[in-house]
Amino acid sequence: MEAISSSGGLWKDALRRYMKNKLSVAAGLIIIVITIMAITAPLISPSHYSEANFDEAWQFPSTAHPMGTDSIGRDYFSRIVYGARISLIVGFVAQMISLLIGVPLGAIAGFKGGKADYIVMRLVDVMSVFPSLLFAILIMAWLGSGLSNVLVAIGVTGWVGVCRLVRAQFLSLRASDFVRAARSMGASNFHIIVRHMLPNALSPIIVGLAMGIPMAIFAEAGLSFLGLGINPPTPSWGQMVSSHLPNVIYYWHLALFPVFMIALVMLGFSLIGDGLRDALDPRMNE
Amino acid sequence: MQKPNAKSLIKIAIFFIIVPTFIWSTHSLAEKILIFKNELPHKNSIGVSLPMDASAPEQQIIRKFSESRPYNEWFRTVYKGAEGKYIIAEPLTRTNRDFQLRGGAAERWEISEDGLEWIFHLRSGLQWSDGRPLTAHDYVFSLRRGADPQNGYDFGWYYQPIKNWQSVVSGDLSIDSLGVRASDALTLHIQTEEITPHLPLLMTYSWVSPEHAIQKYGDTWSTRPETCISSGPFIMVEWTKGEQMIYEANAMYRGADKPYLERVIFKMFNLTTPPQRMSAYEANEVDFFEVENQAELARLKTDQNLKNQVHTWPNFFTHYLFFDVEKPPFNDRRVRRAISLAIDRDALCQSALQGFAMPAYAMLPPGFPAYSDNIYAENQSYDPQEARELLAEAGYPGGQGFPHLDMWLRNEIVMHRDAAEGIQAMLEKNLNIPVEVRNVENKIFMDNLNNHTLTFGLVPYEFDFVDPSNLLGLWRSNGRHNWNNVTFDNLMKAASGEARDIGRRIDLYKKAERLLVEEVAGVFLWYRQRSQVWKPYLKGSALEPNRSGFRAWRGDQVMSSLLTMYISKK
Repeated sequence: MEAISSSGGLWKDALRRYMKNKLSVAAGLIIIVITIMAITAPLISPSHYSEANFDEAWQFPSTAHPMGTDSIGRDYFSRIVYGARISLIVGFVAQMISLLIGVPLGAIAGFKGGKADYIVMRLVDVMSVFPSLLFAILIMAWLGSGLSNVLVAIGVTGWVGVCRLVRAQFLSLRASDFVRAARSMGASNFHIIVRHMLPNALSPIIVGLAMGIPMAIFAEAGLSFLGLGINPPTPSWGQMVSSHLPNVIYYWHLALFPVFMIALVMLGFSLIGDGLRDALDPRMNE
Repeated sequence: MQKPNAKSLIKIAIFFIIVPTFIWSTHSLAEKILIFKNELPHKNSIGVSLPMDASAPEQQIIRKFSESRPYNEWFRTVYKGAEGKYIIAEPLTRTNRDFQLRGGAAERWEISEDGLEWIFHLRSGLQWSDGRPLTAHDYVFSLRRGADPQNGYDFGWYYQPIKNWQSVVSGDLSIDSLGVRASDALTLHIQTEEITPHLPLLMTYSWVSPEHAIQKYGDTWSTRPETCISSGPFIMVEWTKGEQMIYEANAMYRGADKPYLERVIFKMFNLTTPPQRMSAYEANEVDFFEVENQAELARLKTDQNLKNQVHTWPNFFTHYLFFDVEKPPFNDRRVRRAISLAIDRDALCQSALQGFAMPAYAMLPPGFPAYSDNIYAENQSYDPQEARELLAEAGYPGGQGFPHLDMWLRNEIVMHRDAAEGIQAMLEKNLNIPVEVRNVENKIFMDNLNNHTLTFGLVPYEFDFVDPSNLLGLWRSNGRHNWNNVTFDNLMKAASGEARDIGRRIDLYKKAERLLVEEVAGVFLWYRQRSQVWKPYLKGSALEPNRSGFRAWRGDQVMSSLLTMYISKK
């Protein structure tokens, strides 16, 4: 008994395994830095994102403006920093919405089976018929632009994968010994799902979440690129790229920096997802 | 002194043999000698004498990009018609580079005693490229085609002044009742609903359609060189879909605008995959292109060679803020004026719109008839202090209690979206009014605009014809915006009824515009500027500086540019 508890359990093991993966650690650091940047945006940005200084329009990067200025003289670095907020909010909140829809539906489908499973899976089939970005565009066209609508549109289209994942986990866990044991001791369905099955299905969900965040961020960039995303003057990297792509032949900085940031965040979360998948897999014993 | 060696002798010999063979074969021997001595001009294939500085006829070719569109006939569809529709058909009237009216198919025109009918007298001898005479009946047919509900014409609103036009379009009256008739082959009568002094100007847009071709080949007659009959200066010889369209000087053309050019080549493109305009120009694949963003302009301006080939000019294209003046907060003139004073137009034109706009303080742009000579600039110059005071007087001190504003834009390009964000920043900083910019899709915007459900927005208006009734007309009551003013309506009505005294008519329009500005019906922000690049060897009266001093390629829709152009000696 003593020996087992000193090994630290699943989470400590996972953390130890994760820390061994240098790439994932670096990715984690990048995301932490960007998160801090997003939280402390008012402190580190030289000016507010919508503060226009018309005399300083179209400037290339300099010491005063490390990323230059845009067409109405707004400090581009400030806009990039504030843009991180939008990207991270979209990444996390949209994934949370996906989870809130996907996990319960998947759990019911996998646990109950039968008719409930049939209904949920047909719904999933219908949803998967649409390419998710197309569906998000449809929702945006219906709801109108704005941050909250972007969150809804991406969240509502993103739950399908989570739902499938959870259902598959629950299907295999339903027949496992510890669930049968719990049931034989008279535990309620709710208790079994929440206390016994969900914790065992958690690691794939976490991995799915980490992989889903960059997709959500990219979806927001895509929607904003198409002009269906966030309303100006709130900075969104996707919108910054779309606005300034034609200008790249001369004012290179206006397209380059937001593209770089989108790439960085996407890469960061993808690598974290990879690391988590390896770390949380109990079969991955060294 | 060096003796001429064998090489240079051969060169001289070749020169004397080769050069004369290039000279056009239609000239007599005497002419050839004169041409050779540079005392007589070249003649092109349709017998037009080229200007003295023109290069040889076989070099008279212009190449430019043009959008791919399915049709090529004005009275079938404007927005789905390719650019060739302006050069393969003869309009009744044309304008020169100063927008002075001149004859096209019509030689002269006059107004009836009661002012409700215009009579156009056509040139005799005009013909289609298949040899049939071009007559007044063809113009009757064309205008009826435009009004025909079966045709579903997309530019019908333009001809509304013509008698019974609306009723014919809506199907209430038969096509025969349209107020257009031919009393003989050369006389066209156009009746109008009200006195319409600018009708001859409207008829610059009357590129005639061939009835006999339409009956024979249907609506698609204009899409193939074999069936595309021309009444204009050029004729289609090739249309490779998605690639290029080639037009040649029309040898059967008997009108007043025989072109110098031998060929016009339109290189087709789709809006979804726009061509690399600048690199094509630099590689000599096209002779002309239009600059579309600041990066291109900045690159051109830093290039020693190219910077002299850029021509910037103000278009008749006004961007302005509009309000719902019937509802608070904009029912208060002081609020509207505060908004006007809080916007630094110069700053916008030097930042987001750099190179693509000039500040506007009234509806009518420079060079337009009844232009106000910028007299309203001073009264509306940037003054955040006074703006704040006005807003406080109106009951919103420091912006307190002012409702959240959505600034609606109609599917605008990046440049104008950025300018809108600039305005947003100014209103927030100077008046403490929170504004959100909403760039919405065209149809949603227009539905809301026409139903007067928009409170606040930024919208442009581009002229359709060079008459003040066009740009000011949209401010009439129950018009484009929810601004209703009886005095304004009366001034507009008086002006449009003034068919004979042009000076008085212009004065009335000036008064109407003054009212518009003083009442702050809208906040006029900028006139759009266009920058075009063309090769220095391109010449022609259309490209000479106009009255206002600008060189502009306004296109064939507005002033038949290609008809006066030629290639000079390089």
